[in-house]
Amino acid sequence: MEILNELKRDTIMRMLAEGKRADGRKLDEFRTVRIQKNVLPNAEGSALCQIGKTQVIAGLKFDVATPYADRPDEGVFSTGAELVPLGSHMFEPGPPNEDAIELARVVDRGIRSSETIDLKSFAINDEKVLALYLDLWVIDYGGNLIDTAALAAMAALLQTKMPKVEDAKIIRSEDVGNLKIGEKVVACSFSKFGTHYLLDPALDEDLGMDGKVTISTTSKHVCAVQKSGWASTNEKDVSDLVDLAFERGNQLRSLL
Amino acid sequence: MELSKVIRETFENVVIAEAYPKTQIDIYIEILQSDGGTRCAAVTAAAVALADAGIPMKDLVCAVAVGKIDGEVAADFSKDEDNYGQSDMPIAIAPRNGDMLLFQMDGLLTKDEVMQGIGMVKEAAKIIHQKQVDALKAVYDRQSQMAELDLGI
Repeated sequence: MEILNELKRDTIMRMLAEGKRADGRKLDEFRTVRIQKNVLPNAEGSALCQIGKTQVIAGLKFDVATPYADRPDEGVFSTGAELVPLGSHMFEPGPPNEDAIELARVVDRGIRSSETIDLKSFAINDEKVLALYLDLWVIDYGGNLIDTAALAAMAALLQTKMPKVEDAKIIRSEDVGNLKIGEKVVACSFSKFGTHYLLDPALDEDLGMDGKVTISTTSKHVCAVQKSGWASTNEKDVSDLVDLAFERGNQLRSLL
Repeated sequence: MELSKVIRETFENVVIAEAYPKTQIDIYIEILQSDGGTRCAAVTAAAVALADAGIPMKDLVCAVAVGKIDGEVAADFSKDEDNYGQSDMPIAIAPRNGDMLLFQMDGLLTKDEVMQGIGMVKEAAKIIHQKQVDALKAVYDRQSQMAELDLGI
């Protein structure tokens, strides 16, 4: 760990001993959340989500594709994340690194396993299906990328228009109504410092943390979990975090 | 790439890297045949390999996945079970204190099912941990027998 992050961690730990966070939040409190819908006119669905200083744009685009061999009757859903240099001095140009891949994977897993998109409805004919590409662009990095990206993705999905398809081709100028979305999926991330868990880590809390647990939920189910970082977690903590992820997740869902 | 990240982070917790300043420890994992539970088998094997290499660790990590199939939570899915199952939750455990070092999940589980799954992993981990210990002991038994032969004892 970089020396600066280590110093930040020490400060965060000292404050946590008194039950405080640097920005005055409670341990289980989100920063201000803002969602702007339909920000990209060329995308079939889009949204800009801000949590504190973090900003992520999500865009959805339909295309015609060949289905995966093991799932011939299902459409394709694919997620990519870009940590572009304009988002932070820590981001470098070039192919997605480990963090970008993890971000895309965790957001993708939540949406996919919640079955909120009916991929069977994407079938066009025996050979072709619709493919839905979700692009996540981090344009300002102020901590907690996963929750911000997941929220932007969900907000964008709820705006997405189903394209008109004729002769297995997409008619770009016309749509046939909104994409049907089932349950709303949201992610809640907790960064771990010592034995404390901090909901919605701000930038310094993201950089100095020992580890992180992200829990994606629908209103009734846990649909994805990712623990990252070297820190461990345990049965009792997970039980508490799942409860909190449902509670705070419901608050996020009410914003969508 | 995400897989190597979570596996690396699992071992960052237990490997006493302070014993090796300015040194890199590489773990290479090759999946020879996949039949479900690859990342858990990979973690379990890597732990034994690190121990065999004599690298000091706080614990001998082992891993197993639980999932849900036909509405039932069950451990260690094969590939077919995994494809038809509704959920997959791979977990790596440090047997000494029961801490979870790798923890991922996808699917649709209620909180009770998540907790039931974690309980199941902890039980299964005891068996896997014993197998790891047996495997390491077997190596040293064999080596000491060879040494005795060499010395003509």
